[in-house]
Amino acid sequence: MITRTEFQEIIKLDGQVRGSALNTDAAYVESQEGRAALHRVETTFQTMGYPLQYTKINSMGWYPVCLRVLSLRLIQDVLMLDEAGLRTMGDAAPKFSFLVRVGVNLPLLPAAFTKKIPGYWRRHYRVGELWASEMNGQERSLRLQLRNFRLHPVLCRYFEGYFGRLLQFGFADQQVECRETKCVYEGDACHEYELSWQ
Amino acid sequence: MTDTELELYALERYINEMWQSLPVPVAYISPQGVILDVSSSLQNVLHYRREELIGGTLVGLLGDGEKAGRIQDLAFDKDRASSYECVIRSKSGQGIPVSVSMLARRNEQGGVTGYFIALVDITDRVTPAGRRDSISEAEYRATLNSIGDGIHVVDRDLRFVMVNEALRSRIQGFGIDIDPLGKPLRDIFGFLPAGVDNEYASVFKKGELLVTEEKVTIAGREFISEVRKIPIFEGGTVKQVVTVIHDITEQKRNEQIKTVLYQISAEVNTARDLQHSFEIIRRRLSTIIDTRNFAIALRNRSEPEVSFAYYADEKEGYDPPTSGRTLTSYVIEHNHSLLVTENDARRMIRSGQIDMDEEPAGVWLGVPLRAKDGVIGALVVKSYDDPAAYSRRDLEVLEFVSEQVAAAIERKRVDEEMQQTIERLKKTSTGIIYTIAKILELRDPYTAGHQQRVARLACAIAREMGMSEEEVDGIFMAALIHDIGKIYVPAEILNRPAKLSETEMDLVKTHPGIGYDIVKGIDFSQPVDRIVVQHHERIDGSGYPSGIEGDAIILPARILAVADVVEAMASHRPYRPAFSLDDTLSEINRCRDSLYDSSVVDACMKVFRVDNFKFE
Repeated sequence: MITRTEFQEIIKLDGQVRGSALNTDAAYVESQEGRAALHRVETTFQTMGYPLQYTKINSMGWYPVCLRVLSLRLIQDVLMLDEAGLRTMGDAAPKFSFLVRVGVNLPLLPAAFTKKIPGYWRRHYRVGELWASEMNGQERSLRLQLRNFRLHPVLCRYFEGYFGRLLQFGFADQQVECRETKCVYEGDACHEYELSWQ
Repeated sequence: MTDTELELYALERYINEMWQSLPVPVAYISPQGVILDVSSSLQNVLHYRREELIGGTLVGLLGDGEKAGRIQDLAFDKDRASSYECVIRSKSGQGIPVSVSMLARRNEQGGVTGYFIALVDITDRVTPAGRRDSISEAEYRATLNSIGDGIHVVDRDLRFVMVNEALRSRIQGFGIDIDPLGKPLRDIFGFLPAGVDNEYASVFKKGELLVTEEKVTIAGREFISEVRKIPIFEGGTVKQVVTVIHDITEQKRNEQIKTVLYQISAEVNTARDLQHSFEIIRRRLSTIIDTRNFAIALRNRSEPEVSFAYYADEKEGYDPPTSGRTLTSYVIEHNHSLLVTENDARRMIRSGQIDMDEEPAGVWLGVPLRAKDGVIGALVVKSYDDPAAYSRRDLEVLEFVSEQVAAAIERKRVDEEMQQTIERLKKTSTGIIYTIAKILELRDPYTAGHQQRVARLACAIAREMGMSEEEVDGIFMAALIHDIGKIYVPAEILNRPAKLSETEMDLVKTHPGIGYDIVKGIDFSQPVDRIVVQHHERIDGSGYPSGIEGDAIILPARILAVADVVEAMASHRPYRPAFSLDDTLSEINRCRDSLYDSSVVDACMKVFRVDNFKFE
């Protein structure tokens, strides 16, 4: 369970996130456990002195990135998500995202994906930089590096699901795997995700 | 937000609303055949949730890769809406004949960026009255029998026309060993709620699909099902009703467990004490587990071996054993959970693993309470009358709850230790302050006990004025040492039995500032240093050492000033006798608003006149 201290620490995070990210969180919770569960998340926000109502979030607006981290942390508590659960939530997120479905002309095959991913990231976050550091067509894999992004470990597993699903949209019949191979919380300089497909 | 962002937001809402209000089932798919968006009507037809469909494939939806490919080719080649007929499968496996229309979406360069597909239900067209369908009776039955959900068909008399294998085996599992075919629904499913007959009547009359959630109790167990009653038309009227029974008991129970565990986590964190935490846990758990007999045992470092922090038992006067090799001590000692029936317990007794003086319960479930230093106890539930009351899953639930219990106990222990440390420190610091006051009074015997008496009076005034106990504590500390600065004033001046010269008085007047310098480095929770330095300041600015006035003097210092003067006047001094209480109170009342805060003076009056305060 999130503590008041952890909550206060997260509030200090700098950066901004697009409202659509928060809306995908809300859509996921509602689809899994209904409006009551989402209300529990909002109530915890309220209890901690930082009220947030998802219905008032404008998906195209920019919001403090701390809200995104708090949103994920509280959802993790309410839905009792373990690491696999966070990955599943990340996997579902692009399915709820208007920007993903319509705005950026996804799905993309890997080559185009590597080119578009930095801009895609900038449309969603005003903190950190995402880019494809390596693309290996023969090995059927690519690496994404997420730099200057030290917000909270809850995002590590979430992004495994999220990045995997983004690329999965490009394949109808091949399974995409995504795993974090470097992590700032393990002492690495940046996060790195390896995406592979058969 | 920029105008562009606002426009995008409006566009998003418009598109989303459009998708959700489309009456025709529509999907948008990628060139690779991945489903990117679906309308609400498609979700309703197929009974899938949105996120279950998005990310899936057209092949998965149509169940035929060749057809899916051909449909895409048609749309791609002709670049206009094209259609194709096929059967798609709903979540329950029901085949729905549809006409698929597809339109390619292209970018400015002409490249295909996706396809819109619209599905039109053509059941009525392909299964006209009198020609049931093109598949054989055998295929029809084989399809129904391959589905895991229970399915049956009833006629207008509510007699069974068909029952699939899944439902047949479930009926036999309920102990009903007769062939349901031709029998009335009620003969087989007598446990169904009364309203079910009306529901069938409604489906036969209106010809509309009816989806309900049904809760039934069979052989003492509760089952929850999502039940779909689907009308089958013949000659324009409903001839039969197909019922699909999807067992959601597990799903509902999982949801309930999650909710309860979340409630326990959230509430235990904010519980006011351990007993309250345990009551919350027992109450919440009782909605998913039998907690009529519930105990939280803690391991002791000495005899008795365990103590019970909380227990509830159906047996009146039951006193749980605190020593010996019991099931509870077994769980604690071996650090693993135990789910044992009465027979299991007897086997353990025979093999010498445990000793028990009492009759074993029908079923007993215990899990260890694990803290960072090892096992600190056990959480136990048991049932005397239902040997099947607990399962392995209950054990897992209890193991999760045991973490909450252990954490709450650990928190409580840390809190208690912290509280003891704080109390110890408080006593130590108060003791030091008393000692300092005593040292000072040894040098100035005429004011012996002055500071303690002032402290008592100041506290009484502060309480009369409604100040918090924390503030009263601060005033008490400050009053006990308010004259500490006099330690720098020569003893012969303090003890001289005559009026002091102006120069000597100037020396005495330095004591509040010196007192401030002495105590300012000590970390009090209250502003003791400011109270000490301001206790000779007066409302009209005539005091010392700074000559500040009014609200610039903090309230505790204004209280201490009055208490100090009253005590001093009421006591004998080397150069004068003591004033009477009446004269003393008249004097401070005369100087209200000029020297002293009038609200403090009023409180002081009340302390003496109403509360009958006396200097001991």
